[in-house]
Amino acid sequence: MTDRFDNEAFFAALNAARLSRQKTWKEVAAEAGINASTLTRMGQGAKPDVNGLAALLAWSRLKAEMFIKGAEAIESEPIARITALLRADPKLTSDKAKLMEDIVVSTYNRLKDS
Amino acid sequence: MGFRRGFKAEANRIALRVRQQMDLSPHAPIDPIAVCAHFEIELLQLSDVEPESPFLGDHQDAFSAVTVPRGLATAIVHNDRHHPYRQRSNICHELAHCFLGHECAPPLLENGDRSRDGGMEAEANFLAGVLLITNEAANRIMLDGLYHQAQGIYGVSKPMLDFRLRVSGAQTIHQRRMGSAGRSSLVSS
Repeated sequence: MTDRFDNEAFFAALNAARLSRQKTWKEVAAEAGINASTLTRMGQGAKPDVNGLAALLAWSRLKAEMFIKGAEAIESEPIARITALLRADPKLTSDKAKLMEDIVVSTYNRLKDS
Repeated sequence: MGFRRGFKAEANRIALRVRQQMDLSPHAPIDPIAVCAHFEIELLQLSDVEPESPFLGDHQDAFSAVTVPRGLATAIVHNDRHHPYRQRSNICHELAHCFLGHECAPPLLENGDRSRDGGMEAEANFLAGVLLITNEAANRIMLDGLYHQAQGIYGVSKPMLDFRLRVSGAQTIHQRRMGSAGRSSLVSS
């Protein structure tokens, strides 16, 4: 059966939620009522079990259906839909913007390998 | 550009919460590198990520910093050729985007132009300043007569220091206080 749950999109959203609440991962685990090691494993690509997923959805107030492929337009490859908050001075030209995109892609791949 | 109602107070609350998380007093200076470490955000120098980048040379003014999220990991790449005070401000700007929960946006539009949201940028600029100098810190600077040392204490540029002293209300409060003191002394003399 095709894996339809977009783990990476879910974790990215979870990460954004915890930073917007100024929380560490340890605090997320404690407040959601799951083991910190579970989060670490999930971060390394392991799928959450249903109870862990439910706990994290409840903590983050995210909706599971947002991460079901096919239910939303989350079909492209991660690198093609790199989402980055890009900050720089407004005087940046298109050429320099392309150079900046290279920085984003390098960093993204670096996070993938780490 | 005006901020949404309550934003400035929210920004100060975030800056205080960050300090509380790090066992710092409300008026303490912060180390943006330590804040990244505390919140498990990887901080990368541009010279490490792209050693040949033109942003490290003649075009260094064109790139300050960028946040790249990937699953549970988040990295901030910043231009390590900028002045140390500007580096602190750049990193705080990126932290501000994270702490404000700004939605990620593709870095480029389909036509190759940069994608920018003026509202989010303005919010992040404001919070970056508050992260560096909280309202409490601004009041302390004025109350303790630390204006001439404040740049060094808080690691900020003079324009940033002046901006924070003005918009935090610290300058006005101080002027009123001095005015009352002046009036009191006139009355008593």
